[in-house]
Amino acid sequence: MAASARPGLGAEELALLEKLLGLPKGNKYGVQGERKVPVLQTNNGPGLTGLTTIAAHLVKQAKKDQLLGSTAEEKAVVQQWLEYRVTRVDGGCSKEDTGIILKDLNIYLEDKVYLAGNIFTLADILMYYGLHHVMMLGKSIQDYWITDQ
Amino acid sequence: MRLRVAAGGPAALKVLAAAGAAAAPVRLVWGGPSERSLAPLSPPWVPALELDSGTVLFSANAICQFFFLARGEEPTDLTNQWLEWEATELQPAASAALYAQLVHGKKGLEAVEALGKSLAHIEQNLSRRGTAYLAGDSKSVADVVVWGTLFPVLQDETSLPSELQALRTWFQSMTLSEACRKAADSVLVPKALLEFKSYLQKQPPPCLAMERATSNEPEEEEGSERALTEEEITAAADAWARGAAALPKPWQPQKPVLPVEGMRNVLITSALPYVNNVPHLGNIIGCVLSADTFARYCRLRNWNTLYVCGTDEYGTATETKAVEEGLTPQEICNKYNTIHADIYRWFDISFDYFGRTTTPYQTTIAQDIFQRLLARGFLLQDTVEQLQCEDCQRFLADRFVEGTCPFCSYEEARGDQCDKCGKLINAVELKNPQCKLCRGVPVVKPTQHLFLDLPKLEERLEPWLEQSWATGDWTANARYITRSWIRDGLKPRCITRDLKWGTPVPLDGFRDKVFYVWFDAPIGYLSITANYTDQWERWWKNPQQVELYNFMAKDNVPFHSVIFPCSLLGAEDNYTLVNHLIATEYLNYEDGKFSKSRGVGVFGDMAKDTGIPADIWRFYLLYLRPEGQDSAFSWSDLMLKNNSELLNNLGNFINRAGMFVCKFFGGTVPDMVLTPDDKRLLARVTLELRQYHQLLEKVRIRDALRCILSISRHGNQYIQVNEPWKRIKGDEKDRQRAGTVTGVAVNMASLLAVLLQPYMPSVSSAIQGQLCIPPDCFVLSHDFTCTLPPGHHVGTVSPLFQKLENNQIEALRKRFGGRQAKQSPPASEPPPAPATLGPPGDPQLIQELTEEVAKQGNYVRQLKANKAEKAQVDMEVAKLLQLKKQLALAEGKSPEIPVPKGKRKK
Repeated sequence: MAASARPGLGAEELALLEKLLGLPKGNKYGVQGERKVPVLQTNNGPGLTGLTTIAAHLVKQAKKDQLLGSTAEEKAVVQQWLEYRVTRVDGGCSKEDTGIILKDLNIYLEDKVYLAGNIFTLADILMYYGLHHVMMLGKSIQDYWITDQ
Repeated sequence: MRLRVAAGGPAALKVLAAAGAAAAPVRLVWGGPSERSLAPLSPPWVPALELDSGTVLFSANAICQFFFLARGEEPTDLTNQWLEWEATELQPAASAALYAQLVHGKKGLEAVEALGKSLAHIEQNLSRRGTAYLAGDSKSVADVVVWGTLFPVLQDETSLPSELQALRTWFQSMTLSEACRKAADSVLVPKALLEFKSYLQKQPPPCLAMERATSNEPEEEEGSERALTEEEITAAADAWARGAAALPKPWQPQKPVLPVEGMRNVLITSALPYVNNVPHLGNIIGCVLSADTFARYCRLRNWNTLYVCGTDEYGTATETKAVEEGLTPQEICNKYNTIHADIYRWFDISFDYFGRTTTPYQTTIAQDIFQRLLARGFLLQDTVEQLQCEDCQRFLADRFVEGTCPFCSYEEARGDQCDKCGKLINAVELKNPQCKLCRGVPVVKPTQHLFLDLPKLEERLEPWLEQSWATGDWTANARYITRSWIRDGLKPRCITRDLKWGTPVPLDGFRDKVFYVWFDAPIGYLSITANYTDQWERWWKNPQQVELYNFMAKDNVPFHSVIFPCSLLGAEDNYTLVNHLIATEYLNYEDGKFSKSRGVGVFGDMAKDTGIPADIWRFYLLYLRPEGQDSAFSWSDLMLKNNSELLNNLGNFINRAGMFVCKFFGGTVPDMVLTPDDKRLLARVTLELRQYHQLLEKVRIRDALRCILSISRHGNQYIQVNEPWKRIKGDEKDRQRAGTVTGVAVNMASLLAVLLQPYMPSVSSAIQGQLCIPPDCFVLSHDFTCTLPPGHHVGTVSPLFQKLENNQIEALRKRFGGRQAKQSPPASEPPPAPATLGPPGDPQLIQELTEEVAKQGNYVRQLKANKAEKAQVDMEVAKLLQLKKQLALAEGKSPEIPVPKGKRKK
């Protein structure tokens, strides 16, 4: 179940994000550790480690800083949901956990357009990527019990 | 803005330190760890910051970030990286370390063990960059966040290994800064820490990400995601082709089973249930069911296996019960031993022998061990102050005294052990002792007793333990409990009691006393085996040839790991000592504990009255076996697992595989031409099979069950993708493909029948019957081989599982939810009120109900015809509807009673 068990997911996701941000290709990604944390390789130094860290870096590189929020409050809220994505969505190991996360998010989003209220941010993008396979899985579970008997 | 923090909560520290460091104008609100949370998405002890706009931040790191942002300090790549690392790597490690300290009482370097990698990571970064702080030469949000998580675990830099020089310097300068110091002073007050500790004790231990990969969830996906190598695929195809001939011949031991030279000889015991207690589901999964599953697995592996158990029958409780029921203690034991045996038979527990402790062999063997200990100077004599109840005129056995725990002040501590803190208690040390029978206050009287000199035996115990741990599989809790027992210091332990119902002490001056049950009871394993075969010593005095597995719940660990081994080591008679001690955590019931006095929970004798087959109980109990941490039985989860895992996954696959053979190929397994895809599937199944073995060899029973479900999931997908029901109608090539898919699938079903046998023996034999699997295939190897070759005839295929309905489950939940009045234990009561739910499909019940429905229907028509009073008619109609509902339930349908048309028109 754990998204972290899917190898290379982080790098794939970051490549998608690059495309979305209109950045030229060319960044190289590696993975690190058992959780397969993505690493952005740079020419100088040890590179950047961590999905949300690299994502924020790409956003700034693309000069789309508004995706990280404008006010201190927005920035903190974006930070909070990025953290939620890597600790809860990726960290949840069972179907129950996933169920709780979906329920929590549903309640939270009841009176909001986006995670940070009315502005679309990086938090929405990464949350979408993070939940995408869960949602797809949900659909296939429903389609699973077939009627050939 | 309002900042809510819980004193004692570890995350409180960093937010307060950050508020201080960034001089944020916050209004502090203190809350306890168990109060309601301000932020809906997080537990109450996690800090929450309510901003003036109404937005609530519930992540401690985001709160810290906000304080620094508000002061104009923007995050950098480096601070972001530290914060992400802290949230994903450091925090889980720190909570594991904190849990080890507060709950398990670990100290020093052992306590920070879980942090090792993280500490090295910080040290490396600091020394490589050569900066004073984590993200540069000035303090940033990163420093506060990392320090705030480390401090509750480390307290001061002296607990850091000295080689981490840069880390030590950084940590010290952080701790000395004003903001951090102030935060620590206000958060980590001793009283708040205690409160936090008690909160933490109620939580399941944190599972570390790195541990998770190896222990908790051997995810089905993990196997399937792993790329297969070409070698694996070729090997799997070769193994398949070798067929059933490649399987070893199932080993049929002679009866009685005795150790065989050159074979693996496995001796399995499950903790002896006390005869007076009807076991509840927790007892069943903790002891007999776990041991049974493992014993069945061992037999399938062709290991020469003996599984024994029996009732533990001596002690005051039996004496008292006998008085209550007007029988002799022996008669009571006879009666209850039968009840136990019946329950275990119903659960299909495959004991080679189920015995009891009240036999002449028990006396001979116990007295022999005693004499040997006495002769070797391992027994001490001492005067004991013991509680005597003057009203009841007896010395009170430990479990007949209740009072306040001298260690943790829990008010309902038993005379031998406190249920809350788990410490062993000397009954006279209890505060405010009460006689459990008459509630009178007992008095302390001196009496002579014998003691097992554990301190003297310790020097033999330690090397043996070291050896057993190095070579055997002891569960983590068993090791931990044993270690802490020894660390607390071994004291001489009383082995005699002033009772009548027990094994008599064969020594002058003590002849009116009996052995204390914990000296006596484990000897029951030996005496029970002796009643099974007079050659029992070939099992029990044969450590060279025999491997001993003890199964139990964790409260029994010290008796099996320290006291009993000490007795046997001291007796110096080449006894077989435990090699693998397998202890479970506790199983709770719904949201609480099983309680016989309150009637909460399902007890062994009631399980069969639920109408749910024994194998479903076995499956669900094993599925949630408290391996590693407590788990809870839940009715709705039982229904869910039955309907999703058994019915939709496992049952669906096996049924489809068999049906295709019957419907499309006239009951004969068709020819198979394997494609590369099929071979890949064989390799996947082989991977799961190997994983199943790997886990069961380590007695990870719950985890291995996941592998079985995983194989059938692969099977369902395989059928789904290949659609044999469509291809069978196609051209020659399509028909051949349909044949191959059907053949592979039915062979997977055959493999599943064998893998399931330890878990669900009846279902396994039902599959065996339906698919006509040869008995010689009921053996486990490490390869998936074709056991049902082309031309094999299958029998009649029918569904294996029944759907559980919501109303049925709700009724059961209500029935076992507890009754208020304190009554005598359920075992002596008449069976629960006639169940509205018989076992679904019980033909007798269906017939009876059908007749009653017909009778009542006629009566109602008669009343209407005679124009009887409306009230009377309504009442009889209601009765009729009730009967129809019961009938529907008995037939296993959902009881939808159509509303009579006449009423709707009104």
